[in-house]
Amino acid sequence: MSAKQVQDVFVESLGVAAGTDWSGLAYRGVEEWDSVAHMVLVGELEDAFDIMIETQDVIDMSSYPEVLRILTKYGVDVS
Amino acid sequence: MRYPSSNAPALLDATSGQVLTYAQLDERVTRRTSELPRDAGLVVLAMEQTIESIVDFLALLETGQPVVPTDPHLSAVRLNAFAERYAADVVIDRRNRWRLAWPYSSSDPGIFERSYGPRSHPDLALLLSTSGSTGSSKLVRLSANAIAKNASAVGVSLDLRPADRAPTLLPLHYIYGLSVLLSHLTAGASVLVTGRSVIEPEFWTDFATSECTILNAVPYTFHMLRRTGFYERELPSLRAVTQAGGQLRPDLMKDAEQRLTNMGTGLYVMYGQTEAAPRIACLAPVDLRERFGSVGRPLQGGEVSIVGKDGIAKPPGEMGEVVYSGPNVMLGYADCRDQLALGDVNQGRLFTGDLGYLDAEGFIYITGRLKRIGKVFGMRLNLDEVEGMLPDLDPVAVVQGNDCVDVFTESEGSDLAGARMRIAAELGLPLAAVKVHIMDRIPLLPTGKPDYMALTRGA
Repeated sequence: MSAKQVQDVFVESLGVAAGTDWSGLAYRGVEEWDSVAHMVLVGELEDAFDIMIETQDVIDMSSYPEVLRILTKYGVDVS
Repeated sequence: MRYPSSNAPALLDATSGQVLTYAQLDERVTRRTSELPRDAGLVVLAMEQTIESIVDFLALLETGQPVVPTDPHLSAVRLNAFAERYAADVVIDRRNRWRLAWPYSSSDPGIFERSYGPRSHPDLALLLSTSGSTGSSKLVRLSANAIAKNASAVGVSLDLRPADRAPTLLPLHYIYGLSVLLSHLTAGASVLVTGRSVIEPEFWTDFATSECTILNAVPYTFHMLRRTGFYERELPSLRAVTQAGGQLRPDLMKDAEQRLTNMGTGLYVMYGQTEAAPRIACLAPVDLRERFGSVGRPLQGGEVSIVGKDGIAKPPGEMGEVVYSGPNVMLGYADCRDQLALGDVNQGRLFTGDLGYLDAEGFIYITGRLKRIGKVFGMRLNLDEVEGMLPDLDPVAVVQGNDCVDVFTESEGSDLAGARMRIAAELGLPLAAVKVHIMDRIPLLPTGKPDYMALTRGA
């Protein structure tokens, strides 16, 4: 497991470019990350890491750094 | 549009906290009419979730200039192609994102003009694309009268009162979103202007603080609401949720109805089409349990009949095409600028292309769509019904392929081989005539419905 895998999920589900500015990537900050895409992203992260993301975390995943921080809580190694 | 002129609030801006009363809105609209061009045959408006865009829109209606509200996120290439195709006289793009090229020039920041084309029909007020995307070919032509009549009928069906308030959750360039705005203004109720979605905590803070009473949802909204803890929220001001924009799966509707009832909130199921500006029918919460699966009865001033292939009306219980008559029916379609001069082609009558039946009390039940009928090996297939046969593959989209049905799903985990064999058997088709494709994401239209055109091309 690594941050690379999380990035792959973002690329696959949002269609953001692989060379994107990850630290600055935020919900509604790019056209691709709208509310419908957010729900797709959450579903893809759950599948990729075999986890169930709780309600509050679904809401809190508002940027790429936040997604990494929250995934750590679920035991995902993002180093 | 005529709305009550008073000191009651009309629009509230969620970002700035600004409140516009009806009297102030009226003043803003009047001022704007003097700044806008006159006598344009077609105006394209980048419709944002802002008070400025709403004022622009109302001012265009006021001056009788036909307007197409469009998605402000549309790419410059697509917008230019659209403006070119319909030879729009004026484009209002306040942020100049579309960098319109010749023949347009800017007379005022954000207003782009070219030499005007032919006059449009005097009754024409609003044009909208049937699919919610400008890429599609046809525009629906709506008169000011159709819009006003429908806005008022929606208010009656929802029992809208001055104390009611809805957020602009749905895009204002989408007929459902526009209908929420206009029905509230017609009823003397108010609208919270926001660009946020239900998955953002700030949306709910604004919703609660400004005491919104109504939430307007499309089927996909219910998925978002469930995943983001909506049903656990304390929202004492919320009295009603409306569902339109496509049929909600029965199990999701049951779930939503139960949870909303627990919150003390009513669920209104609505049915319509862009071609009807847009509402045709509404099922009130009081009828929902007993008439589960129905989309309700026609709105005030409208009538629905079920018509067979022979054009003759069917008795209750028998299936046929849903035909709607009412003052809100479109004038007709247009697929080029010249057709904007056309008058009332439909004459108040709309063949919806939906299949359904009426019960003895006149409640409408929709069972499928006439136009989504496929033909495989000479056999007629209702593609929506095929989708309904695959609940375990949801989200699923089925389109007609080259002598096969193409099934698109996102659910990799389920038993795809088994599902394929099962529906081939049920449809009486050879296994090879059913192709299953796994997609990361089924492409959706801005309306939240699957983009069947894109799927057909990609299959």
